[in-house]
Order: sequence, then C-alpha cells, then structure tokens
Amino acid sequence: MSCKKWKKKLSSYLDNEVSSREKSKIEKHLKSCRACFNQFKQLERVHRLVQSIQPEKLRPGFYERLSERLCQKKTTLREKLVPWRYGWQLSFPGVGKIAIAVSAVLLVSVSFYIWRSATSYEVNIKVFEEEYFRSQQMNSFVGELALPVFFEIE
Amino acid sequence: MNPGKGFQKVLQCLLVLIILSGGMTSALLAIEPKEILTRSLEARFQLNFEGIQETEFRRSGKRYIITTRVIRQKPDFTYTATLAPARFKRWIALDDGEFRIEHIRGSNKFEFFPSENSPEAKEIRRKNLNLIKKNYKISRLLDGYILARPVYVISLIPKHPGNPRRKVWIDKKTYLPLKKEDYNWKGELISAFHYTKIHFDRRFSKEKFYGEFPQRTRKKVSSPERFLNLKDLRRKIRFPVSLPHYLPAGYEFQEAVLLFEGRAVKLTYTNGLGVICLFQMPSNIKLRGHLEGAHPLVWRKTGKTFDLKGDVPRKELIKIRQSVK
Repeated sequence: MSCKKWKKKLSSYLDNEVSSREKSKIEKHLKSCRACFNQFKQLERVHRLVQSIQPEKLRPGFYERLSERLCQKKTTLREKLVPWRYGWQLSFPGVGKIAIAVSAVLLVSVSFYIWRSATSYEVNIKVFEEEYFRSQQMNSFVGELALPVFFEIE
Repeated sequence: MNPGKGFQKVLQCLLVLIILSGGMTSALLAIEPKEILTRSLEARFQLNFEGIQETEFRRSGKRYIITTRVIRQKPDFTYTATLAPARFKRWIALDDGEFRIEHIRGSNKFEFFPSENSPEAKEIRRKNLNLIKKNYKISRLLDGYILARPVYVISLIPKHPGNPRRKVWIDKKTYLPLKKEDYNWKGELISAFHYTKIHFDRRFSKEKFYGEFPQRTRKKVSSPERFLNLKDLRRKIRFPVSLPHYLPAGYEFQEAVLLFEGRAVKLTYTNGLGVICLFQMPSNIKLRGHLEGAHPLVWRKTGKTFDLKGDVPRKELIKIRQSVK
C-alpha cells in the first residue's frame, strides 16, 4: 500500500475509528516510514490543541432565537413573483383546488356565453311579421284587437 | 175653364211641394256618413256590453277565423278571450285603460302593450280618421240589419289607386261597428269581423277577470317605446335611422316603435286604412329564419338590415325600397 493511502487514514486512526487489524498495520507503517510518522505527529499535535480549547459559553436564549430565525423561511425571487401560487398550494387541500378550478371554468364559460349573447343578438324574422300584423290591427280601429299575435301561427 | 180641373191642378202642385219639402227636410236631417264614422270611432269606450266576435284574417296566404268573447265596461275596461279554434283557446287579453296585457292561460307567457284607450292610441285614431277623410270617398249605402239591429252601411273607396278599401256596418242606436270588411287593392278580402251575438248594458265585476292573469302581471312593466315624431326617435335610438323618400299617394308617417330594447325600429306609415312598415336594425344583429337575398323586400344596405312590409302593389314597395336613405 502506498503512503498516500496511509496518510488518508491517519485522521481516522487518531479518532480511534479504525479496526484493530488496520490499527496494527498503520502502527507498523509509521515505524517504518519517516514521512508518514512526521505527518502523524503534526496531526496528533493539532488534535491535542483542538481538544484543549474550552467551548464558548452561549448566551441565554440562543437556541430559541436560532430556532425562530430558521422558521422565518427566506422568500425566493420566484416566490415573490408568483406569491398566489404558493399561497394556493399552502391554503387549499386537493379537493378544494379541484372545486375552485371547476368554478373558475364555469365562470369563464358563463361570462363567454353572456358576452356572446350581448355581442351577437339574433332576431327572428317572424317577429317583424307579427309587428306588421299588430300595426294593421291597431289601424283597424273599428273592431276589437282579438288576435293572439304572439302565438306561433304556422 | 172647368173649376174642377183647376182645383185638381192646385192639389197636384201642393202634393209636389209637400214631397219636395219632405225630401229636403229628410236630406237636411239625415246624418252625414263622415259624422257616422266619426261617432263610431270612440263608441265602444262609451258602452257596457258582452259580445261574441268572429274575426277573419289572411296571413302568409292562409285564411284564419278566430272566435272571441268580448266584454267592455265603460270607460276603459276590455276583456277578450279566444273561444275557437282550440289551439288559440288559452289566449286572453285585458285592457284597463293603462296597459293591454296579453296572456296564455296556464303558461308564464304574457306581454304588455299600450292601452287602446291611451292618449297615444286616441291620437293615432284621430289622425287616421283625418287621413281617411282626406284619402277616401266616404259614402252611405242602403241601410241594413245586423243581429236584428238597424245599421248604417258605410263604404270607404280610396281616391288613389292601389290602396285598400273598407265597408263597415254601424249600429244606428249605439254607433258601435257590428261588422267590417277590408279589401286590398286587388279586391281580395284581407280582414273582416262581425258580431255573432251582442248584449248591451251587461255589467261585470272587473276583479273576476284580473284573477285569470298571473299575479306578476299586476306589476306593470313598460311596453315598447313609441314615438309619434322622428325627432324624439333620433334622440333615443342607438343607430342612424334611414327613411323612405318615396311613399305611395296618401301615405304619411304614423309612428315609430323601438323593438328589442332599441336594437331595431319599426317605422309605420298609413293612409288611414292601409299600413306600410319599414323595419331596420344594424347588420351585426343576425336575422334568423331568412335566407340572404331570398326576398327582395328584405335587404342589407349601409350596415343595416331592412324589412319592408305593406299591402300595396309590389312595384310600389320596390319604389319605396329604392328610396330608403
């Protein structure tokens, strides 16, 4: 095995995370390889130094504040652009979404129908016939208006 | 000289004088046919009666006869109900002097029209009578009887060819027209009516008749807007109105009626009896039941659709069509 591979395992060896078999192999190599032994000594010194550092005492309420800040989800640009989409996703369950979608389709259809009826009005030519007939009757002032004009006379 | 012969001559002269003076007196006392017609105009609004009226009319080349029960209570109440044929039997109408409501029994169908006794209708009748006096030769024919009642028989012959004519039988006592016949310019009967039964001085409770109409017809809605002059019409209408610049002799503008909430207009012209109607509306409104170019009197021009109807010779209608601007 090359030194490069042994050097990668030195940190694990210091942390006592290697098997006993590997441990004996690493110790055997350190005895025979001067370069690896030097690196091991350097690592051992750093390890000792880190362990000698006393942990900083946290100010009271630190975890509460941290938890609070984590909860404050950062709004992304996409969320800012389409806030309703995210609001929709959060506010309504699946069935509600379907109901709203169906209502929207209905609303659009009804609006289209109203728009169509308002813009494309249709007149039956029979109405003009009836109106002409009514004028004839009105002018015939001697008798009673006795004709059912709005009946379908075929 | 024989004194007996002289006396005979004097007697003969006296007889001739008596006959002549009698004839002149009766001629002076005899009522003018124009006066009879004028009195008949509003007679029905001054009577209480119940009658059965048979009306005959032609439409689209077919002949229809409708029997109706008519009840009039003065001054301005009329109830009309169709008795025959069976398919029109459910039709009823009520005119209370303010509105005329037409309804089909057992349905939600009802329509409002101006009353026959409204000031506008009275004005139209008055104008028509003046037109009749102007455009027709009114003469009195031999008196007759209708339903065992003595009647005046009045004939209206047009002064201008191509106009309809009328014959009307007017009750001598009440001046109510009991029979009428209208003929077109070809001499064909176009409409007629006569009473088959009539009982005068019959009184009815009006409430009984109101009960036959749906409750919501009591709440009156406005009937189509009518204009007796074109100036008022132009102020109200949504599109520029085209007018005919030619009309057959004797015809004059009568009224304009807005249809379909002002989307279309009906212009009516009359000579007192005959009627010509010009309908027009913007071309973006579809005309259902009509094939483009199928009828020469239904046409499109300057963004509008026109329909011309009238019982005058066809060449006259074509002339009117060509003059519409």
